[in-house]
Amino acid sequence: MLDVSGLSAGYDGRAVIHDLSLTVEQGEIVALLGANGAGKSTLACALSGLLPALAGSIRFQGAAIERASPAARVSAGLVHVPEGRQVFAGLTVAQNLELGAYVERPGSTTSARMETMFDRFPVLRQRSGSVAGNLSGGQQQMLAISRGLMSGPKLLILDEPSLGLAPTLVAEVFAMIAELRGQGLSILLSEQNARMSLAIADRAYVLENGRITLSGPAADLIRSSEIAKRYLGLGAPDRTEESDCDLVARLRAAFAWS
Amino acid sequence: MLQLVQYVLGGLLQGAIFGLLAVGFSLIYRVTSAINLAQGAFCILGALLTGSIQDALGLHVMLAGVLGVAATALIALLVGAAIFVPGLSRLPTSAMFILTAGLLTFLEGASLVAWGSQSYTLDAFSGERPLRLGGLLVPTQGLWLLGIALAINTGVALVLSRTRMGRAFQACAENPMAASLMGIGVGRMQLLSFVAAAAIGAVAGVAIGPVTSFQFDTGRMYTTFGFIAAVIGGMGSPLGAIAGGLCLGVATQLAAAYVSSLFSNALALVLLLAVLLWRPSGLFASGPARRQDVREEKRVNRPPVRLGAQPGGILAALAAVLLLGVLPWWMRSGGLMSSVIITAILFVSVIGLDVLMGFTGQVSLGQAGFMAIGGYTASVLALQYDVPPLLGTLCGLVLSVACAVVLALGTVRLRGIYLAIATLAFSLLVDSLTVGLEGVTGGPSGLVGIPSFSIAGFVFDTPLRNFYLAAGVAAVVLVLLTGGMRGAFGRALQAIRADPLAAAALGVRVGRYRMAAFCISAALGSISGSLYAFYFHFLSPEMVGTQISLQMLAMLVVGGEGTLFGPLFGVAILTLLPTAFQPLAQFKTMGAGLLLVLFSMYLPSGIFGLLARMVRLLRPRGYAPAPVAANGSAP
Repeated sequence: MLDVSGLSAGYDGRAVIHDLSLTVEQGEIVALLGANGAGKSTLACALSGLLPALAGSIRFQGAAIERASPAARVSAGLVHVPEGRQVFAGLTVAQNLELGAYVERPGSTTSARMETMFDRFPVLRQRSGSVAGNLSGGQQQMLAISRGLMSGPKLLILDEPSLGLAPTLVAEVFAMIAELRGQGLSILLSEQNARMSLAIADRAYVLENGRITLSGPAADLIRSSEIAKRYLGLGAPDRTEESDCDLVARLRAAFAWS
Repeated sequence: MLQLVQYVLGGLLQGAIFGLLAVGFSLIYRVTSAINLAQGAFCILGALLTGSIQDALGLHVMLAGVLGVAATALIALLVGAAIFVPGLSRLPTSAMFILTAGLLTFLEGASLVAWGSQSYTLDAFSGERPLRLGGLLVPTQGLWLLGIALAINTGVALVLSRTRMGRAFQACAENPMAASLMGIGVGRMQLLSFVAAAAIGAVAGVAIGPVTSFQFDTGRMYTTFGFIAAVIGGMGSPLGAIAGGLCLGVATQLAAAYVSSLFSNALALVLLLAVLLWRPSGLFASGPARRQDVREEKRVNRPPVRLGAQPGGILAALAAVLLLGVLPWWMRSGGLMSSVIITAILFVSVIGLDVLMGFTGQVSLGQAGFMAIGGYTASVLALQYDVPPLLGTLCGLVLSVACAVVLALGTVRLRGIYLAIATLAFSLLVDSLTVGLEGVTGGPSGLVGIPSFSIAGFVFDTPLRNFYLAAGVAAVVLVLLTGGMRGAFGRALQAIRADPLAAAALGVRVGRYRMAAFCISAALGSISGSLYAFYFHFLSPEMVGTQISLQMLAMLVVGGEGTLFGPLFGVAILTLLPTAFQPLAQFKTMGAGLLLVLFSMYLPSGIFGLLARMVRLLRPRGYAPAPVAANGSAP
């Protein structure tokens, strides 16, 4: 679905990510792990077209899009939910969602989609008339993700959806991401929270200083001592694997959607 | 009673003009959250083009108007695509102010080259004969104006509030990055708003053309009054724009009728300040209130260039002293000497502007206003009361600082564009006072016979003496400020420039420091104005008018903001070049505008920054600390 090869991108002509290659298959959650400043957000911005690609190619559903405008990429079905939520603070929740559906697509209408979002996040329905800037951080994140879903994307790039959220909300957000995959969406999940990400992801890439240093199935990575040391904050990989694999199940149980 | 109704009617028509001018600001603001000071220039451009097209093709004025508006839109398309939209993506809001001030100057200069400095009028759309309603006289053009203003403002309001495009416009202003992630072509939207606003401005210009005469530089009046109307009505609200315009129109017309036309300009300024203080989001703002000044913090100001420690500092000082000694002998005669003296005098004023803009990050468009206060106070005191020049200069200084304190108290909690627009209004007020108070200032023809500067009987009456006076004052100011800016005071100012909130959190009294910087800049402007008058023995309004404010802005940006020494390059270039190339004098305004635009876009650190970079390259090894990378609006 998404096929990136040899991609370099950065600011003011200076590359931050170098010669980067990765793929996301249909219906997959791919986690992008790395510390602060590793280049995760730069990669996300390069994929959505906010930053130009300095070298390399990005193919989305077979078509080369590395020169396409952000708008064209949204139309193609590649949607980026940026770090820090970036809701339109002065507009109402409903207006934010409407803007999410700015790119018109055949199929259900904007209002029908909005209903779906409201069903998923009842709190957004309650607050649909209030200004987005007055929402709490967690509600804003819900809004940002819903806004991204309004255009009916095929691939969703989520950049740090758990950043700055209370721990209970973090679990809620991850459970929802796992559920989105169930609806056939492909997801590229850029996160610092490696444990949670690996728990729901199919595969993962580890980014360091703008280069991929490790990649593989999430289940393998979660057992790797390297990951454990650097990103899970554990001295040794002595945690039982069940606990991690059970995480999704527990999350689902805790936050069952109708 | 009939008289009153007639005045109110006149005010409403005037107000329709203001409302029409204001809606252009609102439209651009709604999409880019920037203020386009060049808006007024497009009004004049539209009117001038219409006049020429009508002359050339012999068309009816309305038909010519359509072509004129189309031609203006085409020009705006080029200007927007080449300058305004690229500027938005790389400059902070305060720098956009400077950029559009440069555009205004450039377009005015270009109009001067193409149409000369005489004034023009257009034919009325439907004859000159006024309608008679009862005892009232209503010019038909006024009805056209009112109708056009209502139609356009309502139309823009509908587009903004009802359409998908209107929503997209709003998204672009709220958060350009998120907007482009929604699939909105942000650059295209920004360009569209710029061109649409310019076209509306041109329509306004053509509609006003028959009512008031206009010339190449009338645009800045339109910019000011349109902006004031937009602020009164609520920035970004087209219906607020027309409401604000009508309020402003009626108020100023009544003031002009019953008090004096001088008072009407003052009233406009007072209205503006009152609204800014009382309801910064405007009288008729709809939707959530939003303070423009808060947005300033969104983008980071570039840190100014520093040369680092100067091992050759003493050598450089020696060279400067030597140069000062030799220079006047080398150019004893001719106009060059005079230019150099003017450069030194203006430098004093521009360095004051640098303290305010380069160090505190505030924008002032009214520096020449303080020059006028200093110049006129000292001259009037010397001419009418025989007050010694030094004492007169001090009086002017005190008066300037007093004005600055009043302005600052009004705007001290306001940042960015509020101070800029208040100072612009202040400058225009001073303009109208210097022209209007004929008994005191001599009116448009100015004051003549001003004595030479003298201290305790020593008269500075030869060019050489004046040179040492001006150069000496400039050198003293430069040395004092350089010392001051290296100390705690300068650090506090720079902290405010970098991040007012963080500075306040560290215990810097932001308001107080801002006021101090503003007072310093006013004082230096005033001193410079006094010296100016004593040197020329003559002072007229246009020598210290608003266009000089804009020129000094160009001098500062070209020289290098926040460097104290850098502005000398800017002042020298913009003063000496027109003297050196006399035939090019008519291109001066255009050139200044173009330089301002180019430097603020491509070389924000000015000539000084360029030289500093070269010095760094020439140094054998990295002695100076590496330049701090300017982190712009990194998403």
